[in-house]
Amino acid sequence: MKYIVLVGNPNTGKSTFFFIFSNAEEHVGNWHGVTTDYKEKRIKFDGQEIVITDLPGTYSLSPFSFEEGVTKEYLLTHKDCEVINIIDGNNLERNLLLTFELVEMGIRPIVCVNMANEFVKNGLKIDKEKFEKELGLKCFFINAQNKKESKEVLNYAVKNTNDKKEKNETNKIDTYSHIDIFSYITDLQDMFSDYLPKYNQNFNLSIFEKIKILEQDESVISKLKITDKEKNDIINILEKNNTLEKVINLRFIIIKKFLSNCVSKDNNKIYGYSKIDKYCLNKWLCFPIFFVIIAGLFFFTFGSFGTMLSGTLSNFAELMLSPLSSFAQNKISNQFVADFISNAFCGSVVSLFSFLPQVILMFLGLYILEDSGYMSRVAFIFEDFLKKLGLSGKSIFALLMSFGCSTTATLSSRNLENKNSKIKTAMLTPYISCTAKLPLYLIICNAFFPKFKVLIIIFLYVLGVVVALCVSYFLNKTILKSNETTFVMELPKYRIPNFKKISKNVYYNAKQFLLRAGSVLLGFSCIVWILQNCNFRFQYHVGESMLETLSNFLSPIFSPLGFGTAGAVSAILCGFVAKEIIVSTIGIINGLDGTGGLNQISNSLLLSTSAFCLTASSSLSFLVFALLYLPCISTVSVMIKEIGRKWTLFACLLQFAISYALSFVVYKIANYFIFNGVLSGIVSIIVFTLICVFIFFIFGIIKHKRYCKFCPANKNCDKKQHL
Amino acid sequence: MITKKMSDLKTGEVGKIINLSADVRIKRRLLELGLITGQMVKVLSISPLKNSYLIALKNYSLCLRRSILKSIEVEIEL
Repeated sequence: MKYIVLVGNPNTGKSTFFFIFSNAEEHVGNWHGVTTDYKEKRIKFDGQEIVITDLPGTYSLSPFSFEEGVTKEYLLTHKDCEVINIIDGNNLERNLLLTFELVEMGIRPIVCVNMANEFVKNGLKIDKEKFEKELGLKCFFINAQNKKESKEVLNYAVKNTNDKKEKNETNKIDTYSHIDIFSYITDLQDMFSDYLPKYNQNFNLSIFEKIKILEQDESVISKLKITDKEKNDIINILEKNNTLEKVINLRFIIIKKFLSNCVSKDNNKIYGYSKIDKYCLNKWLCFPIFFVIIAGLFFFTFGSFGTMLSGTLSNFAELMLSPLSSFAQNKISNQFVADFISNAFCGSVVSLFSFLPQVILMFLGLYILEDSGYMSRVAFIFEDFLKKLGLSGKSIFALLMSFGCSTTATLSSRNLENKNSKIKTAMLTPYISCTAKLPLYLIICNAFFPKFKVLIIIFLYVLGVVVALCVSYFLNKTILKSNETTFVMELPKYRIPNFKKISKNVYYNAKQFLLRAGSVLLGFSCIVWILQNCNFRFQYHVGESMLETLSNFLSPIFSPLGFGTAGAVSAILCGFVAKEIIVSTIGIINGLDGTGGLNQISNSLLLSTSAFCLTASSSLSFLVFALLYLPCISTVSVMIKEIGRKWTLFACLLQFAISYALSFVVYKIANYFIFNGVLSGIVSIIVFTLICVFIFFIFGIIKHKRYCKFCPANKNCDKKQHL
Repeated sequence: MITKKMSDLKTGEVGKIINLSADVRIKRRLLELGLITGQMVKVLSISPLKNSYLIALKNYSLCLRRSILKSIEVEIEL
């Protein structure tokens, strides 16, 4: 077995290289830190079995984040691997720093300069032979997407592991001493013995460890078997002499000298930043441009094209399943089993397929934006706002997509790299009003508030967003604190999306959606169907169904909200399957046959015979409750998959509690308005707000007086001097 | 010639790094990214709420938070 490891800076194309050989269907992005753990893949190459490992990208071997620590540990513990160091040809200076550190560690990496095409375009000329000779390492100049070139590299690496075994390479450490360029390592050793002569001999430190101590790497210093006082002494000596800067400067000086020998530059172009960014990142233009793009994506996914596709596909699925359902209806004598197969099973499969086109279109759009490099710009623009809420810049996409459909939006949260902000984003999407809820708003507003229809619908949309932001803020302050992982981000270059890669990613995500989320959706829908159609003795269509019994039983819970009627409660329960169903359930409960339009349903609500007994105020609280109460089954199943059962349950409970509290408040306020007249209602709200503002103001003054973060002693500090 | 905190640079301004005063962990990372003494840096863009900065150094571009740039001193030519 031969082991080959890929190491490099973030976003240099390690994963692209990895996937050419491993054929895995995982995500590679034009984005920072897509690989967060190492991935191993056993493959057959030239008839030999080898294991390729893709390590998370790292800038150096002094880990800053957890992922970078993975890389360092792996390299320290797997000494017998052949290391391929992939470096970005457009940023040789910084990328070579890692190469030098690898050499210091005693590794002789195969240097693989990626994006060779692009740097020729950027006016860089590399004297390849000189580059290889001076560096003393085997070098390749490739484009990682090019299979032939990448194969050559791997071929060499595999052969090289053979040679090594024969040569019996015991003292790896000595492999660079004959190369001029690495003679600085001896200088670093001298520096160590100058400053810390005590530790030079006795502790049996490797060169790598010595250098890391000079760089004040606490993880290495803390491993020394010495007292805390001695450790502090070491740190003081190092700090006084500023060894950290000296070491890194030395490396950069050598790299610069080396590069000036073998690379010639025609222009001083800044890689990554292009002319388009003048507009895309402009203070005033960035938002309009973003909203145009997101609106485009939105209409692409949820507009007529997406709806048409989803209609076509669900019709197609229905057509494909019709033999099964007709077989069930005709051949199976047991009516329950027959209906179960033809309605519950086939019905939910069809509804699953009606989601599929929109899922595909959304991922297609998102991956195009990501691969083109625009997503990093979005993160840059929105980082400010969303950081305060504990979300990452990328969450904005999920939040905006949830105006369309929370299922697809929740699914898109999987692109987030930080675990906590991923959980938060997935939890927030259901609060935002999706398109499926709109018909419900329309029928209720038509029935009760024909004059204020638009106003109330806008109110509901705004309420959803506000609640989502508040929830995120409180989660960030309490249990889901986000840590600052995105402290540094490189801006990738704009590039034309690679459609092969995108289609692979879209296919992978659609498959995941169908298999994992689909199975949960199917199970839940079947259970709800049974609830709707059977009584508690599991008899089919006999007497009261379980759902009705349940609604009667549960209705007292909802009476404080004004809609504690069996009809309203069963509409709410059915809404858990899919929000679209609420409207049709209202129709069925009110005795309509389902052929009438929305108008007929809203008229039926006003009749005295209606099972809902809604009034103006209770209908408002019903709307607020329906907006917020629980995500639909498909969203829940996606959430379970993305963030786990525990968090999904928590999200559902939290949502239910919030919706309950808010509808209660809305109901009481609405009642107050109705009984006391609009004018006195407005006046009392204004008074209430003023009192709140006043209280907050006073608290603010007290808080301000008590602390100044920067100079607690100075009581008259106006804070301005610190800004 | 005046010295400033790097967070005080405006869009388009160029400065030369003269001192880094962040704590060791962050300082090491900044140095590794190439923000060494004597390096020229240019502010390409500042985000709308002024909390993230896009800067250019060597020949690449990098986003950094304002709080970090506060610890970097630069020298600008008038």
